[in-house]
Amino acid sequence: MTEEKFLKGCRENLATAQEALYSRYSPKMLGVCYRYAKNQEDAEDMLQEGFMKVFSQIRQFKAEGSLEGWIRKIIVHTCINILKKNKKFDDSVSLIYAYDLKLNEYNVSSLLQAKQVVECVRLLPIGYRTVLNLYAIEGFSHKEIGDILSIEESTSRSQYTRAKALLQEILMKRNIIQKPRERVRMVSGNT
Amino acid sequence: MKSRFDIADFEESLKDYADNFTMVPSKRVWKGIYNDLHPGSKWPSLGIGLGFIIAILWVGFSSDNSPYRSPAPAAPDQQEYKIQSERISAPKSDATQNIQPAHQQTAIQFPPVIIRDYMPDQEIVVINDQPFVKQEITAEDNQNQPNTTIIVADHFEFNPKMELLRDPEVLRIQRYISTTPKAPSAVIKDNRTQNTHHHGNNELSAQNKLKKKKSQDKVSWNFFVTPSVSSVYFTGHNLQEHQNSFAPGVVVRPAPTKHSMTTNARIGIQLGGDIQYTFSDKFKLFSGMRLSYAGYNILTSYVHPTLADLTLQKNNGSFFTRSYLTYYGEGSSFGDVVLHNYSVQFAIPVGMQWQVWANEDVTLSIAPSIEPFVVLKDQAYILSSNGRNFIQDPDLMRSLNLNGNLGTFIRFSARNIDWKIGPTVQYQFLSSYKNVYPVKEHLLHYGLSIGISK
Repeated sequence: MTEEKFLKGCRENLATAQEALYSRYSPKMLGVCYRYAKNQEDAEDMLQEGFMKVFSQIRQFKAEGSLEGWIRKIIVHTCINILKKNKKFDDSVSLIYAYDLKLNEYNVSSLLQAKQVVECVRLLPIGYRTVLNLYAIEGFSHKEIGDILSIEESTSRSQYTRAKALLQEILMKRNIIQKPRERVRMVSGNT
Repeated sequence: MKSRFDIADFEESLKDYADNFTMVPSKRVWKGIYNDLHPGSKWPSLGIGLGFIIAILWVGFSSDNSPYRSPAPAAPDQQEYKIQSERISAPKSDATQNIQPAHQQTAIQFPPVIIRDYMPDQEIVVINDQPFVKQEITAEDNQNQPNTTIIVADHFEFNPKMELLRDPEVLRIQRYISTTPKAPSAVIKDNRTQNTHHHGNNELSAQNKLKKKKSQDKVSWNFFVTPSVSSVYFTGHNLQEHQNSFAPGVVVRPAPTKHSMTTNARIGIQLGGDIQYTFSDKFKLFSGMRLSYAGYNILTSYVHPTLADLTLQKNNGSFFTRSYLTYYGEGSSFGDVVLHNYSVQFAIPVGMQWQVWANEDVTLSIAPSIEPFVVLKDQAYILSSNGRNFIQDPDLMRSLNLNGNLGTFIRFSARNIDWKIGPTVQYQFLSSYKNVYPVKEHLLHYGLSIGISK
């Protein structure tokens, strides 16, 4: 089924078109939700609510950009709204979810590489993780992130800096990335 | 997707990996979406469900055709002896006002008899707060029917405090018999008959009661509460992992170092009940149940999320590391924080009580015991290998452990209650942590036990 047929059928509230659109985009969108959620169950709840908004607002979609990008935007905003509804984002974003996360070699060894990276992202505290997702992956600016999360732009910058450093440390520990090699400066001496 | 995560282009690599990550949602997600988008389709299933419920209720009500009936009152025990009701007659006149008190009369001692088949229309009198059936048996009846034995039904009790009153004019003997509805049947016949069967049962039951009382004196109960304070100290090595870039995975063990942490005690409490068996004058065995809460505080600081390592040791001697994300420890701090380490335990103690001294009013005893226990709930922050952070890992905590307890107490009676009061010391034999964690925690609890004994 082509994208146009999706849109036409969904606007007419046809179940077959809706199911086809859902089947096509849900795996990737669930991956998006999974980066924001605490667990897969929460991610599926976000996905369900997100797609409900997609189908209810499908008539507002104008074929100016990609349908996938439009759906993704709705899904991301749905995830953020759910997180905001459950936990408040403020200047102390990093201090929410004060629990200890355990990493060991048994967690990640059997996973595919993309999932390894996503799992490492999910190990970050929710505040760090959200800012990292919005800035590095979704492409929002710090100002836009501040508006979305109701925090200061400077808070977004500092949270992102710490999140990036922490994620790099986690990825190095899991041997997904290596420490940058120190540059050895060659000095030639003429004596 | 790039084959390798490039740290130099962190954002692009991260986006690349994240965009290629997919997951398959469960079927319930689409079901939920479909039901919300097409609510009309659920009405037939709701209707069927409602019809099913109504059918079950109708089947249930229609099959319940037995009305509730209260149990029929037990029929009086029909012994082989039957009274001849014509021998007992209702009083022709109320002669009570002419009756003199028993102690002023010449009492005629008749052997005790018990009357069965109490007739509801017979008069009830109250003597010494006990109800009695007023029966009249003429002396003539007794003389003419020497072998008559009258037996009472089960729900009557023979009252030995019969009052015999004599009417000198008509020679009537009134016998007052208790109608208190308890006690087993006690058929006592007069010595004019030879039936001794039921009389023997009374003696047997009295002997059984005496035996039961003697055995009950050997067993006693004790209930107590013990507020306590816990102290802790640690032993063992804290290892720090050094990773050599030329030989990854090699762990270098530095000299053992001890890292300090600031702790303070918390108030704990123990509730328990024991059953004690006396097997000699001075020794008792006891067992029972204990429920206790104990813990201590750790004073530290709130820091930015930090990766902290814990080096653990397997049974075969090899080491491995776990990394944890933590908010507690040394570093750039947001403020002080108090971490609570505690444990809720259920124990079954086994011990012995030795009476070392006693007088009429007071006894002094010592009671050592061991208490295997199971941890119902706990929380424990442990120090990371570099000694700078505190992390939590429930997988490292033991669920079964063993305490040793030593208590001394004095026992005395006050206001009809036996009290037991005295200090106790309890030591946890095994560390709260599994052996894989090299650091050992030693816990001591000091308390004052206050109990009552029965």
